[in-house]
Amino acid sequence: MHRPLIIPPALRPGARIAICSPAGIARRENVEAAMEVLRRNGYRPELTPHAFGVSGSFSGTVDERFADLRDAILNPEIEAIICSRGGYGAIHLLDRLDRLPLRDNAKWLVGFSDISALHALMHRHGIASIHGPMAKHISASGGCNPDFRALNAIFCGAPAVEYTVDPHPLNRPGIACAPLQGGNLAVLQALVATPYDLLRPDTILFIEDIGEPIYKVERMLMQLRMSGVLPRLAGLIVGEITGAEPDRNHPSVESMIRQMVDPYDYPVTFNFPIGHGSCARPLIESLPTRLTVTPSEVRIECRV
Amino acid sequence: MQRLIFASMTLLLGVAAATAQVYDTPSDTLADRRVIISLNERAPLVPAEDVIVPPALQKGDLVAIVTPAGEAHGYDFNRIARVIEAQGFRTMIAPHAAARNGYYGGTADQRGSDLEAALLNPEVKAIICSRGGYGAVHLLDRLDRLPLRDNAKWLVGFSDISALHALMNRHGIASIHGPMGVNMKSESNPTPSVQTLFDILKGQHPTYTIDAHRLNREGYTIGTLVGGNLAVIDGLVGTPYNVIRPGTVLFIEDVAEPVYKVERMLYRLKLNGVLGQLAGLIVGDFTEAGPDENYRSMEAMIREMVKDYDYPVAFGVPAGHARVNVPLMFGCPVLLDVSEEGTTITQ
Repeated sequence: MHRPLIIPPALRPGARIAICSPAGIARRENVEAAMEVLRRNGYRPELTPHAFGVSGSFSGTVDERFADLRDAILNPEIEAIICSRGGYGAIHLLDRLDRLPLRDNAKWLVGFSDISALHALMHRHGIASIHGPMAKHISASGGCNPDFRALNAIFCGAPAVEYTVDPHPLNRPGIACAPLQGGNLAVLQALVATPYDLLRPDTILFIEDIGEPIYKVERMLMQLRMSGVLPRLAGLIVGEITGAEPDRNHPSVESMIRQMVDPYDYPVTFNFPIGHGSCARPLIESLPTRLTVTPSEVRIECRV
Repeated sequence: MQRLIFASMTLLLGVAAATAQVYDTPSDTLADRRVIISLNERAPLVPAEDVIVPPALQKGDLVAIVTPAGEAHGYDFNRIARVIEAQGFRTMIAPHAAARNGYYGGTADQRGSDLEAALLNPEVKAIICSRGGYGAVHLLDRLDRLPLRDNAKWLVGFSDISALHALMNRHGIASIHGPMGVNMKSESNPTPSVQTLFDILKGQHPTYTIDAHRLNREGYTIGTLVGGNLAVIDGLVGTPYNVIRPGTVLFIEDVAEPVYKVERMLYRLKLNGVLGQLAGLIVGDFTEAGPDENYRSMEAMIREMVKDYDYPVAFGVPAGHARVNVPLMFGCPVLLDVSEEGTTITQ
């Protein structure tokens, strides 16, 4: 699909923002706190009908979760959609959402972790989307946190998103300019060889994950190597890989990843503040981005 | 599609069973199962012309024991060798079979050179892996460059070794998903699974008759049998070693994967259309997987995932990480017959 990338428009003052739960069951206190933050910043957040739904481990049946997201996407009065949390289950909705006129209703979609599956959908339709904070991170410190500040800036139509972070001893210096693509590695890995595959050569890839042992992360990267993607990335941004304990072969998941990309020469940076820890800096999927890794600092710049 | 598969194979009438063993598998969450193993002197199915079925082993043939994945440092390789030798074969223990490099049975180079030497040695007629674990995937690109078809021989193993079956099958060579060195404990009284493995190596072809499972979907199909450990073959999708293709009969098993992760793996196959185009599905043991909030069992989830299709589906086939692990020949045809009476798997 070679169509021009759509960058969703900035939100107007008082914009309505849908809060939905496409995957796991939402935590009410986080969602209510996040809605309060949004209201204080001049938005009108509203819950979709099944935002607090429960069906097994999911926030509603597939039909319910799909209907919520469909209605939020197709309602022209809704200017952005923020997912309450990840978990597991967004993948159930892809085939049905794929048939909607998404490009005619382009709006910012925000989330990470399992929501990476929805970013893959947006990417397939050529719509930029925000890998960024959900209820928990938005509400941290009552909204006075760098994740929400950056998200709010994007909502308000900031011309650029820029981050400068400290160097990491395993970084590989270099400069890359390419579309930014990524998310939760296990979620994106599950979409390889489907129409929603966004792990592609010539992109700056960012990855994060939680609860995967090092060998399973290695297996996913082996898959990317053998499918020809890993050797041909433009750059690699590694966020937090939470809960990957050192094992008998690798002192850390970061050193394993560094070893996996040793044969290549693109810039690589570690410990970028995204993932399942305390930080979820918004990154804009599909947008041309410049990654500069030097011995003294790391810069990520994308012009919206 | 179906017609094409039949056209490329010839169905011969099987010779009456030479031997039959009845074996009870341990009870699981579903029901006690029983498998009857029958052996034929001749293959009832002829593989496609371009598939090499390695020749049957003769008395005195050489069998190599290798460790391509996890380390087998403390293993009694002499005992494994004695079990194999008791069948009339000679054995060769690969130089790094007992090596250890962290979690692995040697560095990728050591493991690769062991397997490469065994694959290229014309004297070696079968390679039996000592165990699975993780790490066979490291060797694929290296081994892929070898003239494997000029040296076709049986490769035996399961779990992580599924990656090597994917390699062999990519090269059009049949291989055996079955017991490994770690499972070879008694030379005088091998388990039925191990004994059946040796019978296959000697040129006999098994038919398994398995009790009906309440989740089975009845039907009759012939196709190329592929598969193995689901997480391992899932890790090969999108690479040159992908074996999960339309028109195949897929076998899957796994250990200690939560239901939602297996669902996610099957979802990929649903989203790319392959799940809907299988010729059949054989579900082995999914061990250490309990029910979750969404499904009362792994099997119930799998059945739900394939409900829109109409090919035969057999559950409770005793292959995988449980006590009974009947050997299956990958890369060559299988006849899968699922009926009210039970499941018959013939190769």
